[in-house]
Amino acid sequence: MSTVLTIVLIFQYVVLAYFALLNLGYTLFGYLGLRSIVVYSRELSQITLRDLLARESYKPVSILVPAYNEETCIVDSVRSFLGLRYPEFEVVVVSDGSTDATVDRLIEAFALLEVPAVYRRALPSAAVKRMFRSARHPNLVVLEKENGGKADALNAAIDVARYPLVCAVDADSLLDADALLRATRPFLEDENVVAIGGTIRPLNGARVVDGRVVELAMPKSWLARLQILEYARAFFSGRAGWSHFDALLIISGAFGVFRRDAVINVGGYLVGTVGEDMELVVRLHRHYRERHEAYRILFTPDPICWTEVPTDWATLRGQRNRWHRGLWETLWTHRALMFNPQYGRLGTFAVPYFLVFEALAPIVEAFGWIAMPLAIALGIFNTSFAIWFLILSVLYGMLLSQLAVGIETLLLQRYPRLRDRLALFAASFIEFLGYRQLLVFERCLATLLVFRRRGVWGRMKRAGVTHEQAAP
Amino acid sequence: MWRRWGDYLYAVLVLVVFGAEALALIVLSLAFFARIVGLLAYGRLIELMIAVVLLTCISLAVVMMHVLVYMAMSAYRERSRKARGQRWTELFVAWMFDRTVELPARFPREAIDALLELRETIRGEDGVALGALIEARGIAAKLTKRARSRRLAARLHAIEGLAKARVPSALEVAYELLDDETPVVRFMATRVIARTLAAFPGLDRRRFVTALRTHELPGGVVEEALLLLDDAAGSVIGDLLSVDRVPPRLARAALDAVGRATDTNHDEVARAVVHFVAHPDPELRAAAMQAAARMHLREPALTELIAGAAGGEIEFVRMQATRALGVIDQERALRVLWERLRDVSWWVRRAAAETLPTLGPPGLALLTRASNEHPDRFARHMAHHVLMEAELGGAP
Repeated sequence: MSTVLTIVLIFQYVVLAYFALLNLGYTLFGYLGLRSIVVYSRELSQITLRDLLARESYKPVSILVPAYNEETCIVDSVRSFLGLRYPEFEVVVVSDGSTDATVDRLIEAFALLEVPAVYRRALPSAAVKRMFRSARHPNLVVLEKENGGKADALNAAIDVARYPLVCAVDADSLLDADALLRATRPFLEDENVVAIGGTIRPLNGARVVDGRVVELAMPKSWLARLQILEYARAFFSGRAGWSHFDALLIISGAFGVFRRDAVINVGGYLVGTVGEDMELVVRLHRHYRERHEAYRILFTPDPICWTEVPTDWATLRGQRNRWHRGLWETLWTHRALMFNPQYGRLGTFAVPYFLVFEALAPIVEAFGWIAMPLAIALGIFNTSFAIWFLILSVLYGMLLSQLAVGIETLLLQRYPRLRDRLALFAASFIEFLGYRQLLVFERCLATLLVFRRRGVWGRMKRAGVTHEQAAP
Repeated sequence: MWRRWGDYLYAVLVLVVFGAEALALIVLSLAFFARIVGLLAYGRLIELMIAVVLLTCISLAVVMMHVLVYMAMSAYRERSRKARGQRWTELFVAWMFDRTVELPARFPREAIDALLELRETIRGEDGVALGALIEARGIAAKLTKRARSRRLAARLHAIEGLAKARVPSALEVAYELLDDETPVVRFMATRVIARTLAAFPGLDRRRFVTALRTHELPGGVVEEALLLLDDAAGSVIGDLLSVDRVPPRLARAALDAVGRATDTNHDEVARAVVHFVAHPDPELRAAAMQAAARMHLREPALTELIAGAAGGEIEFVRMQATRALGVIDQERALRVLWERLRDVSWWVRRAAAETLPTLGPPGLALLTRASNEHPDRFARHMAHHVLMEAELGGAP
């Protein structure tokens, strides 16, 4: 019995140490994120943006929009991309074997005309069936190709892209009007920058006019509210912190700007993985570090991309399952980096952190939940200690959420009402009443299925966001 | 866009709150370990745990209260400052039209912001008068002092103010800040100098040329500064390019600004561009050919150089040479472009097809002919494709 007790005690200690280390990490990243925002908001001022526009000091950008069965949102999204404030850009939409009316909607809305598919194939991709150009928008190109997955569609779009920077976005995303100006600025200031990630914010509940978010309101769905907290924590704390250490491993697939030649040099997006966004970033790191070439991969807190988050459990679980499998797939593909000092802080710190505190986190948490009934059954459950520890972890989680929410209030476009703030405060507590546990379960499931379901995407059901047209 | 008010205070609050929490977590971990090895009584551990829970409760309440108070205060402040700023702007506009309009002895913060914003918008004589007002009221001096502050946020805020003010007295501190250890400060200081020199063409530009040569600024920043110089750009670019052994990074930035900045059609610039078209560095050669095309530089010396480069070995040089063929003798250009339509490089073929329509009706006729009759299949495809794009209005 004493051996079992010792094991349980040691396990409890490991869990506590894990909890302490994880939260110390979050704390540090939270502070660094905030610090970077303080500086960033001043260095990229309005006059800098005005100078960029007025003097045409910029690098032209190709916006890449992979689309699979996006008939409900594709026209509004493309319209919003075409309305961006940027001197020179093109929009390349790739319908990746859509079986719905995605291409028909585009043909109708933008007066597309079929043109010969003449472009240089630097990256392999599934066969392109048709290529269109718009009679109304010279900077719109649409490809219709065989289904090959998101990575394959992005590779085809990179082939067609004619500008030195490419910006990968999701078909259901909206960009702030100045997002490209802000995202491309670091490429001008530092020739070593190869990729930039921006902030993603949930679109649900927002009022959208002419493809622009004009007003924020708390979505009615609690599931969406909980994700507002998650996105705030991930982007305002986590990524800004990693970027500070020059060890950013993820640039969200919903919005990232890359140097086209750099992406081509590493072979483009990896087909057959569900974590193609993270995989590409890790491969870029690896490529430059192995060649001892100077490079930078950065996160900037303010080009902002808006995306619709799932409002039903099935879609949310599918999405989180996919994200977690994507993480495992990337860690497995690049296992050579793990604890490898040859890759600097990437190998010694960032990749091991992602293994221990991201990939394995749901398993540790699940063990904690399993250990509880086990301890009760063995008669060694210490109720008072367990309750206090539970209260502490909930409070700490709420504190981290409120830190990120506090950063959100510094944005000009924030949730403006007092009741929104109170809803977010309530959400930071509610997430511990089943939401978190269900997602832990889903991520554990993803860990078990990672090799069986390699590259399987699943379906995303969209509720759709109402777009308004501005009054003439 | 971010609010610039309250962020510093929040950063300090977060540092304090989470510093305390981090300490508490470390103490708790050590206490737990001490309990396992029997150095700490169970009761003491629980007491410690309760203390950490209480601390976290207080931290949460403090952060939450701060967020709510900040929300309310920032919303109120923005509304009131906007209204006051609007009144100040109206007063300064009235002063611009009638200099006898009385201005208050002291300018509050929103007046300074309104004045700097107005200075940013208004050019010409009125702009200079606003600049003089900024200097006379000590605003420039105050910004200069803050630009030397130890706090980065304050420094950046002040430098932005100086960039808007565009006053000669800002130049000294701006040159000084080119040696700052923070890259973004150096970049912003470069912009201050360029904007000020553009506003006062009589000021000495040679110091700026020297500063650009002696400071390791990224090409993009140099190029932007040159573009910001407006009418002063030509002479600065000419000076930069005519210097012996100009660093390639700087030459590239200057060549990239040629033809894009206003008033760069100087003889000195033209001579430098011709010189760089024959430069041994392929990147500079390509940049010079792009510059020649933008300037529509019709120098006899360029004909052989560009036509020769269009058949060279390096793909990107060939592509830029092909695009620059528009500046040489048309008959020769048409012959070379027909040839380049069957280049092994897709990009060169595209450049050739896209350049032809820029040569007017003869070029368009040749492109049409190429789409039907060119002996090379790839040349025909490319010509056809570009023709279709041109019909759709997509040709560059």
